[in-house]
This record gives sequence, C-alpha cells and structure tokens, in this order.
Amino acid sequence: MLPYFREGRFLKAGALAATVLLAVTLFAGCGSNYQSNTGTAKPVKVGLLVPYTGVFASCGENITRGAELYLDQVGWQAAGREIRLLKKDTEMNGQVGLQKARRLVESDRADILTGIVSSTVAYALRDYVVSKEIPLILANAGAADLTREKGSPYIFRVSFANGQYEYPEGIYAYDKLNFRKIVVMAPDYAAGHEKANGFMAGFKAAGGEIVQEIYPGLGTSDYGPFLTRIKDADAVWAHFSGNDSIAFVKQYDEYGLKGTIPLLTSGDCVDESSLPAQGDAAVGIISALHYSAALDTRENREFVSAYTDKYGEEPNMFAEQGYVAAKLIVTALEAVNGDLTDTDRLMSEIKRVEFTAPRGPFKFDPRTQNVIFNTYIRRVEKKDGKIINSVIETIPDTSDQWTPAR
Amino acid sequence: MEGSQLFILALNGLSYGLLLFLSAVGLSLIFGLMGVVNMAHGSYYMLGAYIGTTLFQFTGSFCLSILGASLTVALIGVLTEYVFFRRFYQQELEQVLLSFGFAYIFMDLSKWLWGGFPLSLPKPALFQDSITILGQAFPSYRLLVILMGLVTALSLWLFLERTRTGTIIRAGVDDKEMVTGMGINIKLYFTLTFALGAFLAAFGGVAGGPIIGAYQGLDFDILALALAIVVVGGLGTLKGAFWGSILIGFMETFGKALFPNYAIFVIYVVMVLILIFKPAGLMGRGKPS
Amino acid sequence: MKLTEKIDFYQKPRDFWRGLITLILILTPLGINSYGLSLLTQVLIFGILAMSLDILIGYTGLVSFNHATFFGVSAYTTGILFYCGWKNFWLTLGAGIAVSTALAILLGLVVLRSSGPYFLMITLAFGQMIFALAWRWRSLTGGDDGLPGISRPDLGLPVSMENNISFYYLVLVFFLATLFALWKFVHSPLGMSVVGVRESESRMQALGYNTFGLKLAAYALAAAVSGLAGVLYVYFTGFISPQELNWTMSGLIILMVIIGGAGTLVGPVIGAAVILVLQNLISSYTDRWPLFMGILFILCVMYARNGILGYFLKLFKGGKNHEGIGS
Repeated sequence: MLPYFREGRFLKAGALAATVLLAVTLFAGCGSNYQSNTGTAKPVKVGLLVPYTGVFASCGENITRGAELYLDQVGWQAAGREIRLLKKDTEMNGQVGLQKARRLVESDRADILTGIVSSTVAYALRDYVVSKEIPLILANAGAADLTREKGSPYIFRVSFANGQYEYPEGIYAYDKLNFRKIVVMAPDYAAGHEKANGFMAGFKAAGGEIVQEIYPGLGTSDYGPFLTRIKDADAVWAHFSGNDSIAFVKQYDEYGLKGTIPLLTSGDCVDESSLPAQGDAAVGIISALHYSAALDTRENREFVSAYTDKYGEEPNMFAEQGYVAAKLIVTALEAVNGDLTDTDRLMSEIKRVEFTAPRGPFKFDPRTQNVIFNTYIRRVEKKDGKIINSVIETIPDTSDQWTPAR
Repeated sequence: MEGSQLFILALNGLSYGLLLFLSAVGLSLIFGLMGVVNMAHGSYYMLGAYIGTTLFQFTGSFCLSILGASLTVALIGVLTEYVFFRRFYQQELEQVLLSFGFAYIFMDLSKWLWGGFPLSLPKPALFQDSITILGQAFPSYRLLVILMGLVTALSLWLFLERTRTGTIIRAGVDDKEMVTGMGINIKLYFTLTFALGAFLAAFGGVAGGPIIGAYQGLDFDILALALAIVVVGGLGTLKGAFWGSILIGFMETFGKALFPNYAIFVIYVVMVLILIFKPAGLMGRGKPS
Repeated sequence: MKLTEKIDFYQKPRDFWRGLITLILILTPLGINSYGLSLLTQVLIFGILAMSLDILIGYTGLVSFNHATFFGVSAYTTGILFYCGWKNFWLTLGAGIAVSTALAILLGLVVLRSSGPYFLMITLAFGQMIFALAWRWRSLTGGDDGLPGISRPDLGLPVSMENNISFYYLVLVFFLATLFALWKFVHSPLGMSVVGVRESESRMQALGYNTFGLKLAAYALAAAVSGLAGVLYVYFTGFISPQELNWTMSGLIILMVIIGGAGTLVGPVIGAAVILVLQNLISSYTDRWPLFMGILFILCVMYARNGILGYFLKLFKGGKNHEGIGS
C-alpha cells in the first residue's frame, strides 16, 4: 500500500513530476516556434481545421482535397509568397478544435484559419479568433447565427447558412411541385433543426402545411420504426447526412414508401459520396443545394475533371467548398500584394472577392459576410449506369436573408 | 396504432434485437468466464462489417464474405487473448484497460484501412426486395436476419448444453476453481470463448452490414448497446443475453415509433432502473460483487 | 501494512524540494511562449482532475467510468450561471462545486452498492445518460452547439483574468492548494480508512467502520475536486459542450491516472502532462493519435503497471512493488 509515501519519496517524486512536466511543456511550446526573418519571402501560413477522425472524417478529407487541388493549380503561392497549409484534426470536438487553433495561432503563427465542418467547433473558436484578430473562413459549418448575431468582421463563410438553400426549396415544393401537405424528418441536433426550420419556413410562406415533424437521434441506423409511423402526406422532406443518409434513403425504399410518397431532401442527403451506396433507392429524389457535380458549366467541368484525375473520384459539395475557400484566400492575398501586416485591409479585400466558382457566381453578402450563391434544384437520375444529381432548376442569388430572423 | 403497424414494428424489433444478440452474447460469455468487460468487443463487430464489405467487393458472394470476415476476426480475437489477455489472468482491471487500448487501436486501424467514408454492404441476391405483410412493406432481408439470429441462438444453446466443451464453459462461469481442480486446462477454454465471441460479433457485423453498414464510430455504438443488454439481461448466461437483446431491440423500436424525440433515453432509463432494483440483471444469478 | 504511518511533511530536505517545484512553476511564465503557457495551464487543470480521480481509482479502489460527468456538470453550472449574469468567480466556483458534489452524493447512493466491473458499467451508464441529457436539454445547455462565449471571471481583485499569465497563476494557486489538501486527506485517519476499504472491505466492516459511508465520502470529495477543475476549465476555454461529459473524456482521465501511476497523487499529474503534450506533438505530425494512445495504454498495462512514476521510482529504489493497479 502507498509505497510512494514512505520517507521522502513523495517530494522526490514531486520534483521528478515537475521536471518532466516542464520539460515536455517547454519542448511542446517552443519546439516549432522558429521563425526565419528573411524579408518578405516568408511563407503565408493557412491553418486548416477539419475533422480527420470520427463520423465526419470524410468531410474533412474532401475539404482538404479541394483546397489542395486549387493550391496545386496556383503552384502553392500568391503574390510571390509561398503558401503553407497546416492541417489539424478537430475530431469534431469544440475543445480539441480550440486547442488546435491555439497551437496554430500562437505556436505555428498561422495568418488565416479555414475549414471547420462542425458548428460546435465554429462556436468554440469564434471568440478566440475575434480576440486574436485572425480571419476565419468557414468552409462548411452552417449554424446561421455565426453570420448573424454571432457574426464578426473576422468571420466569413463560403459554404452556406443552414436553411439558406432549404428555404427556396420549400417555396419550390409548393409552387412548382404542387405539394400542399409535407412530413418533415431531420436528425435531432442543432443543424438538423435549423435546416428543417428553413425548409418549413419557405414551404409555409408559400402556403403549405407541415403535417408531422420527426426528429430521430443523430447516428440512427435503423429508421424502420420512424418510417412505419409516417402520416399520409403529399411528400416527405428529409435532411440526413453521411452514414445516416445512406441508411435512411435505402430504408425509405425498403419500407415501401418510395413508390407511394415522393421524397424531397436537402442536398446533403444525396451527396455524391453517398450515391453509390444508396444506389437505385436514391433515383427520383429531388433535392436542393448550392452545388452539383453534374452542373454543366465550363468552370465545373474543368474542376470535376481535374479533381477526378487527381483523386480518382468525383468531387462533392465539401470538396468544392474547400476549393472555393482556397481560391478566396489566394485571390485576397493577390489583392493585398501578399502584405498581411494590415489585417483590416486584408479583411476588406476578402469581403470584396468575386469570381466564378465551380458552383457558379461566388460573392459575399457584405452585411453578414455569408456567401450568396445559386440554389440548384436537382433530381437524382441514372445516366449511363452512373447515378448523378441532374440540375432541373436554378434559383439565382440566394442569400441567408431568405430566412426570417427569429 | 393499427394491428398491422404493430406487427411490422414487432418484426422490426425482433430483427434488430437478434442482430444485437450476436454481439452481446460474446461479451456476456467472456465476462462470465473470465471476468473481462471487453471494451474491444464493439470493435470486433465493426471489423467484421468492414472486412465483410471488402470481401464482398472481391468475391461478390455474401456467404463467403460472412464466413471469411467472421473467421478473420475470430483469429484476431484468439491472437489478442493468447498474446495479451492471458498474461493478466484474474487481474480484471488490467484486462479492461488492455481491451480499452485495443479498442483505440482497432478504431484507428479501420480508419486507416477503410477511410472515413461510410460503407454499405449489398444484400444477398435473393433478399433484395421487400415483401408485403398485412398490407405493409417489410424488407425480406430482415426476415433473413431473424432466421440467422434464431438459428445462431439455437446452435449456441445446443453447443453449451449438449457438448462437453459447452458444459465446461458453463461450469467455468459458475465456478472456476472447481473446473481447474478437475484437472481441466481452463485457459484453453478462455481462448475458445474469445474466439467464439469475436466470431459471433463479426458475424453480426456482416449480417447487419446491409442494414447498419460500416462507419467510423460503429464500434462504440455497438459496445454501448451490448453493455446495456448484458446489464439488463444478466451477465454470463446465454439466456440473459438472448432475452436482454430482444428486450432492448423492442424497446428501441417501439420507443422510436411511439416517442420518436425521446427514444434516446428509453434504454438508459431501463438500464438504470434494472441496476437499482435488480442489480444482477433480469436473468442474472446471485448478487454482483 | 501500516495504516497509521505518519509522515512529517515539514522535514527540512523536503522543504527544499517543495520550494524548488513551486519556484519553477511560478517562474515558468517568464520563459515560455503563450502557447506553451496555455498548454501548461491545461496540464494543471487536468492535473487537478486526474488527482481527483486518483482518490477513487488509486486510494478507494473504485474504477469510476463517469468522472467526466462531475467535471462537465460543474462546467455547465458555471456556463449557465454566466449566461444568467453571474460574473463573480467565487459564487460560480461555489455553485459549480456544490452541484457536482450534490450529484455525486445522489449517484453514489445508487452506484456504490456495486463494485468491480459492475461498478464500472453502472457508472458508464449513468455518465452516458447525463451526456444524453446535456445533448437533449437544448434550452438549458445549448444542445450540441454548447455554451460559447464565456468570458474570464471577475475575482474582485485589481488583476484582470483576461491576461493569460494572471489566469495561469490563479490555476497554479488552486493546483497547489488541491495537491496539498488531497495529500493531507490521504494521510488523515479518514484517508487511511478509505485505503483500508480498498485493501479489504470486509475487514474494515469487521473493525466497525461504516464502509459505505467512507466510500461515499471519497466519492463526494473526488466529485468536488473535479468540480473545481470544471469551473477552471470553462473559464479557461470560454466554452463548454456535451463532448466534455462523454465517456471518451472519462476514458482519457482514466488513462492519465493509469499512465502516471494510480495511488500516487502526483503520478496522475505527470500522466495528464504526458498525454496532453503527446496529443499535441503527435497530432501535429500525424493523424494516427488514437493508434499511439492505444499502444501507450497497452504498453503501460504490460510494462509499467504502476505508471510512469512507479516505473522511475522502481529504477531509483530497485523497486519491490509488484502490485497491480488499484489492487
């Protein structure tokens, strides 16, 4: 019992503890803190914070691929300065994300942060980046508040605010598809509710009626019990992503609903990376998103072919968002001539960036610093044995302002 | 709710429960015999699902995939038991921690090998479609899952009740000293139980592949459910694992259908109530210590 | 086994060592960059947390798998009170500790009736239930988005805690106070009796001790101390989410205790330092951190069962200690 407390061992142990503790901390703290001061040719450091582990690891991987593809195309430099991408795993955990951001900013001296798949991580980082005056380019996290009440001049979003493309989808469902009564299903977490609210607001504003709302737990694999309880309606609208979306779409078919009630979804639910696993069960689903790999424009054809050449598979929304984030950063760096000493100037240049992205026209809403994009209504179709999201309608200039402030 | 809906829900609960039974029974037997709460048991299920999916891509045969994956994972189970767990005979805490370490390793290795994308195993050709029961569609593959689960449960029962090996395992659960005293090399049976447990978990992983799929985080989702089953049913017995699984399967299913927004709590509440009022589980014997 | 063994804490050579450690920790902010300082602050907070779990694992022999619950509940209490407008540090500290201690006493009445693997599983079940509650009770906890934007506390002192150095000193004071208090506890008659329960509960019962009460006292103490860590943590990061209540967090704290050396009090602090620093170092070179963690776990169980501290002490002393963890 208690062998370490006899005689003076406790304190020797304590001394040992303190020494080890300090040695490792100093090592970690100073280890990578070298800075070469050789003039203006110092590389620009971009911190990329995405999950590489856990359920959303694939989103992180896709964002990284998109960003690296663009940086490859510009030779990893802007305005004569080398660009370095420092990749960190947030593990989809706010505290971990914050810890990694600290390391990027305080130890690695990152100039700009980007990435962020989960809104939890975005919220965790929000106050920190604002206090450190580091621009944060959100490449996925959709919590609408991040560019509303919790918005900041330091926060930009190139992806979407939750509800941004779901709201016009709701109007489309009423006006063009002539649905009057709809059942809504989404996973029971913040983004699920926000997206569902966006759709419901649009559908109700157009005159429709929501007859049932079902919120299964995030990570549900068996939707059978929920599906057997669905009421009679003109259509079901659902948002699920990742593994949940595969299970949901397949089971919607298996429980015989596909033939009886049409399925509308968020674009995430029929993501290009899920379509092969969903197979024929997905064919016929109508969804809304700011992107489709099947979009027939010059920019997108070039993007898709370059991406497919490099990675051997088609890009999805996340890959495109990573690509756009990288292009935004490079464009802004060119605009300030690689001079990052004046953060205010950098931010006003970021805000002003406009270009034609694979998704179509890209620009920010100057009031919120959230992106304005085209919303595409897509239908899942099978063409030459391949399952794709064919664009059937384009709704231009969709801004987050579509969603009424609550 | 209509009768036909109830019936479909019951079938659904049964198929789900039997799927869970496959992963829970190994956990329960290993605990009963060796006192190890094997935190890597969910990983066996997940590895089964991943390996099965890969084998299917190469062979195109569901039968080959399910057998190949189960045998591979059984081998992994034997190796970990033989090389690591065996050294810590009767040191339960060390064994739990060891299995915790393995859970981390399997988690990361599967991420490394199969990436972050969720995979889905195709169904066997004969069970692609849904059949209509009382006017409601029901996927025929789930009926196959029910069949596989019941056959497995029955064979396990026969194995444990009617064979010498099974009798020794059951005796080992009750009284290890007695079995050792009879001159039986109980460590051999430890290895065997580990192999069996890993085999069944991986079997469940492949059988569940067309429904649940294979994804990052599946290991601990399954472990949590299996632990709940073992706690509810009582540790160390086939009967406890079986009825615990059916109960949890039904509760999940009916919980989702009746109070979809609170289904997440149903299992925890039941688990806590049972632990308070019947700490040894519904089918458990004696007082846990 | 001498339960009543007394150690004179104030003997001279030890005063020297103790002073040296304290001096090093006090001077550290002068020679470290801001990232190193934030890492060290985190190490001290997790050090407090790991020490509190060591009271259960190392001294009472209870392998609790929901220690993150008390940490997280206290952090949530602080966060929620902050949102209600409580800015005073001492009030939120008191509230955080009070809530986690009260929860521990309630839970303890149920979970302490079991032991061994059953105890592990029942604590895990309760922990996950409270995790699910934090996730679901959106109006109170903010759901999975958590509670962001909690600013540094007002201590009623002329020093601003927004400054990371002064916050570090605040944490350091609490760390040293906790170390001293827990060290006093494990050598008090009460602490000795708790160790007696670990060694043999039936013997202690035969000697007339109320062993259930002893375990409950240790459980409540551990929860109170982890409550302190929770309050400091939420002020440090300015953010709390359900992830801090999840079993992965509990697993991480157990790992810290085991790697550092259970039943040594200072060992778990080393464990916390090693894990946090390794996590930082390894994850900046590779994504394979969980793999390393798993291997580290296994190596520790196999070759350093008394943790890093025990391993080194064995080297120094030629070691005679072959006990397993918490056995």
